[in-house]
Amino acid sequence: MSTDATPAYAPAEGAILTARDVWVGVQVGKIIKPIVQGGRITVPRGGILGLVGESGSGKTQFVRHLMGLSSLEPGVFGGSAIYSIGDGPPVDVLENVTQFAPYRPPQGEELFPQRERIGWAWPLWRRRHRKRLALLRSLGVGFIFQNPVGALNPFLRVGTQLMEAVRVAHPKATRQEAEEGAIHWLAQVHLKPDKHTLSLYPHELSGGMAQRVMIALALAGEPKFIVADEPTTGLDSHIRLEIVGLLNRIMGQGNLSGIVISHDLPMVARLCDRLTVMYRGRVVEEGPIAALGDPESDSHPYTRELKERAEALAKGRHARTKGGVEKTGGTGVVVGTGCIYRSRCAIYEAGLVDKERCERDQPPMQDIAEDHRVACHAEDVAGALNAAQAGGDHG
Amino acid sequence: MDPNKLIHRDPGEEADGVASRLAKGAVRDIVETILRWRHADIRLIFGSIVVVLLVGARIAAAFIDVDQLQTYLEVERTSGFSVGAGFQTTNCRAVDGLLLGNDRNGYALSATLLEATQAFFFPALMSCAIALFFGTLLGAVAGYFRGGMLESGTKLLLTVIAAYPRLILVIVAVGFFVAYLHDPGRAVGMRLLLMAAMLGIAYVPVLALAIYQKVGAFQREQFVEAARAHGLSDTRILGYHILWANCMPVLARHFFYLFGYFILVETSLSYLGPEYGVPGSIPSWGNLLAGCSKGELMSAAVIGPSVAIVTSILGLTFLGDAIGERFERGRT
Repeated sequence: MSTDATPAYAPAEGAILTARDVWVGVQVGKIIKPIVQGGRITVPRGGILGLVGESGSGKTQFVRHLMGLSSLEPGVFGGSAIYSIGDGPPVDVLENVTQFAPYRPPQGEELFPQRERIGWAWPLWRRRHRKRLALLRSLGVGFIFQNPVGALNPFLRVGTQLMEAVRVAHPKATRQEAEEGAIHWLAQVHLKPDKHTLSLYPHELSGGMAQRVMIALALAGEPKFIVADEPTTGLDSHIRLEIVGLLNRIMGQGNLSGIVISHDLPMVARLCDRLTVMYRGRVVEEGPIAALGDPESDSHPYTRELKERAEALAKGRHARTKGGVEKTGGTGVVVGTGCIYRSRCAIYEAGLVDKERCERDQPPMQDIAEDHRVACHAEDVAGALNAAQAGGDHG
Repeated sequence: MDPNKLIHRDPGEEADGVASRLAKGAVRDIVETILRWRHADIRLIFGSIVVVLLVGARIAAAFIDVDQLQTYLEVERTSGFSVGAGFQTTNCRAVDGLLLGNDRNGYALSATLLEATQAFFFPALMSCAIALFFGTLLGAVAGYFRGGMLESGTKLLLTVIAAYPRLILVIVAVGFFVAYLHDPGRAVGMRLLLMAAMLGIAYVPVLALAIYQKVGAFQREQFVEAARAHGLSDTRILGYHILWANCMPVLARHFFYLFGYFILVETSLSYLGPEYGVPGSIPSWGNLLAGCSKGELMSAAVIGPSVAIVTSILGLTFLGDAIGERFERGRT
């Protein structure tokens, strides 16, 4: 729960996006519920970051706020998100948010964000924020939405929407050139590149076609940074494979950087270079994607739980994890002191960590390998977890 | 087995068969046409016919030569014109051979009905233009930029305008204008334009509120968020993605409603008297009705303008509804 009043953030070396200590809140009655608590991600230039976590962990809202795509009130009220796109200087889209936001993150025993000032200047900061976001979009960012049919204007033809996106990258393009560009992007996403496809309305597309059009729309602006928010949700397994293959091809070519938000671990493993794991509004682990491949590798207990569940699901048996700890603690963001994962944590349950500390202090991010951090009080996370699971299996 | 082999044909029957098939084909075509029309939108057809008639009347009105008509009537009068049965009052005699009769000056009412379209046609268009422009602008801005001073200020302005009943606002404005203008002759055209402008302004809150709600609802849609994410400007999103692509049904509906409403207001004010509406010297459907009630026109002459008013307003309202629905239905 530590946030300085005037944080001096700097972009990570070789990163296209560095977000640190981001707080996002939503007004619920008289309180502000923090749905992202000190969120941090680092997206390497030319690399793809996978942001995983269960439903309601705040991953989508986190990234949406980094891209200025959410209308939640009060929204983001702390942190920094520095984009280093293009040749210009880095742009911090959340610059000075801590000084202007009416709320501050909770400190000490406080559970919720507290109102710190009246916030007269808050609208001014928001106006400046919008300008920074407009600048950011002009540098080239794209977004692939979870629900493609909802993200396409139902009253405009596919061609019209694609041509508009082409004109964002090429403002002086003639109608003919924009149409050629639209057909080119249709071909890129394996849709029939003809005028008939351009003339279709969104309701005339199947789910897979709509998702392809959505991807084409995101790509037509020729972005350098792209976010795919659960791009395969709601699609059948055949189409899902095709879309993953398509994304893999697109993200693998050129110097495209981006974030893939998903709870589909195999897809993330296939598409991404790095991994950030969120649990109930907090980042609990970040590191290279290799940590996902090996079930016994050093990782946060929650990450290991996710991996085991994915494997169990793939094997077609009930999701039963090692250690025998009851893993159904509900979903959604929770507030409270100490480690929020402790009620499901095998290490905590087995008593292999200082329980008082787990209940009192939020675990800091600690380096467990090169460029690999987990939020846990245990000194040897992997060892403690293996011991706890071994004990649970024997028990 | 070839089914044709089972049918016996001879040449004579063949010739009769062609004629019969042609006749059957014609009947089938007619039946199919009727069936197609059964599914047609009657409101759209009726409204379109009314609009064509209104536009035609306005064009015809520009070519009516009143002097020639009067000369014709003078000839009739000097030669001892005949009086039509049932069209005689103390003030006025009817001329035979004139559709809908004539007024006391000898003008044919059918021609006056056409000419009366001049009283509302362009002023109604002007009224619609004012209401659509300012209503859309205010509603869109307040709906899109929610939660700020812009929204609060716009809503306050709209509430103040909407607090006055529309008809009263127009009457007060026209009365104020007439009282302060020293040259009543010059006031005629200006009065119509003022009436149009005031009605347009009075209608702004109605349209602005409809657009405000529509824009507010669409602003929460994901496609607006997506358009923003793809780098489109707020102006483009608001102007094209929301207003042009999604609010066209509302705009079409209100355009035709307001056009019809202007006819109603102009007619009502003219009926009330020259100090409120169009002066008596100018042909207007309201003046014709007023003439009937004052006994200046034959009582049967009330039919023409009444039917014209009702048909026009009904047709315009139907057309607005039908076009609005077609916009909404056509692309979803």
